[in-house]
Amino acid sequence: MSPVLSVEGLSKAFGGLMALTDVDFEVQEGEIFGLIGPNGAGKTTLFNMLTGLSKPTTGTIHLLGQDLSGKSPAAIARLGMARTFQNIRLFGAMSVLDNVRVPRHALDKASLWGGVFGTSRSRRREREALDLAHELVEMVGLGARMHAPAASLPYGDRRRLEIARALALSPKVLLLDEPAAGMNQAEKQDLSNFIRVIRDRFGLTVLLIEHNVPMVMGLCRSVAVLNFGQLIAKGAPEDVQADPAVIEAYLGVADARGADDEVAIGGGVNNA
Amino acid sequence: MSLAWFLQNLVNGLSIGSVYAVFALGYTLVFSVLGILNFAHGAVFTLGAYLTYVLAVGEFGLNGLLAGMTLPFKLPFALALLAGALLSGLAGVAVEHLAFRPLRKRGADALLALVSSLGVALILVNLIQYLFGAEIYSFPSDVLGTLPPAVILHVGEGLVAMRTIQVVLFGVSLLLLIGLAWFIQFTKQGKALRAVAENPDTASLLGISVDAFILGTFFISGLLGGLSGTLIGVSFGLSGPYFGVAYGLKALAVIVLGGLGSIPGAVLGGLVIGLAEAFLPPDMSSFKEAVPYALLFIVLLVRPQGLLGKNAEEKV
Repeated sequence: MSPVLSVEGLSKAFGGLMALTDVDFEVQEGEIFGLIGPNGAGKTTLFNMLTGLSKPTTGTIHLLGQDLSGKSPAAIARLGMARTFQNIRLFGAMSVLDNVRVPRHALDKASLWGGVFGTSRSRRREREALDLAHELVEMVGLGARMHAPAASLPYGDRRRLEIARALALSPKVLLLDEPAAGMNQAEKQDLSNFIRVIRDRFGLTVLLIEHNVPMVMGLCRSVAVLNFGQLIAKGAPEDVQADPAVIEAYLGVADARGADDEVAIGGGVNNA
Repeated sequence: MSLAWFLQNLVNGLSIGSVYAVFALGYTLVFSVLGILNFAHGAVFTLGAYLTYVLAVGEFGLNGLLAGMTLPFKLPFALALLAGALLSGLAGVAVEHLAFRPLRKRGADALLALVSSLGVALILVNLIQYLFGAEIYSFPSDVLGTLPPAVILHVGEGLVAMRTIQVVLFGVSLLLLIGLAWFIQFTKQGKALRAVAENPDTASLLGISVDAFILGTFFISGLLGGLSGTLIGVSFGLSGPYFGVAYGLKALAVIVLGGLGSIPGAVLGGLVIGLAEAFLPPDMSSFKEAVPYALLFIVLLVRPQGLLGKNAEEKV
């Protein structure tokens, strides 16, 4: 089976600083793939390159076999890559519903004239887009706040709305940048379930940046660990968890040498 | 202070004010998308007036490079207005390509585009002077065809004169304002445009081609600028290639008065300034050009964010 997303030899230099060095990994279809690593390890830089916001210094990214080199963020989004942000980026002045309707613009190829003069084809598409937007908003539990400005929502709701907006792009791959940040244990559990549900419902492949190691271990079939821009481990969660290099990255050098394989690396970052 | 006096000034103020609003909206659109003022907007205003003049009258003036040349056709005024506006829209697109895009692509500080747009404005104005000459152009009085020059209404014992051109100014402006509001609020493209205005990066990640929308914004902005230039030109004549400069500054006062980046603010600001000019007592008419700025000064003392502007909230 060919991977949905494959990253080869990816590096990013900011001046003399290597934010990422020679990163390789593949994500299989339908997988929930975890990307972990300490702060500043290059996780968000990697997301920015996957979505075209910043250009790799070297290396290639393929989405569904297509090379993304030189493609604009908008073109990559239309190919099926959607993301959320660590610091939520909604259109605050727009209503909840309108936020979710924005991406449909990109997918609907009906002409400007169709939109302006309301041809029947463009009206039908508009109706379909509206139905999908309603469904997505209901699905993330914001049906009652449909027409409220996005900026008026509480924090957790804004996170869910951002996911709904990403889903409105009908993506193949969904990138979630620390979706559980600021959530309590029960909310994290809900979010994990929600990610599984949308994966199955929309046939997604999910790439997840998360500091919360127990959550990643529970949710992901494969995990990659970044440290100082280098991919120091990848594989099944339990193997990665036992990897000496990973323990070293999280717990420090001296202790790690003799560290017991059973050390839960989650313990080191849980409070971060 | 009769009712007729009041109505007469209301008519005068609303017709000119609505054109100010349309012109100012061109600034506002670009500002809300790029967060920067386009100083070439006043030059596009001038260009629109000249282009419409030539298309409607069919000939150039007496001392530019094109002196004495004639077009093989003359368009009816409505068509010339439309064609002049569309060409001004293209001029807006050229401004984006020359003054804004190259700097944006290199990640230059947004303020630099202010300077480069000022440069494009100078080039445009001088090009107009070179091609059309520095003389005054006036639309012929029969430019509106067989329509009567004015309608006189009897109100009480007084008279209210509604010049046909005032009705045209108000009617065209009103149509544009309603059309634009509808486009931005209710169409899919309008939503996408608002998304680009709020955060271009996020919009691009949702599949919106940000550059195309910026280009579209400059087109609409140029169209509004050229159209308002023509309307002012028909009403008061084209007093030379620099006649857009004073109006350009006035429109800046309009958008600051209304609240930078606020579309309803630009409309309100335009109407307020138009009405304030109209209601200025006749013996103070030599201060007319100072009215917008005096008003601006007073309003900003009370509401620094402008009439309908939002308080900039700094979030940590």
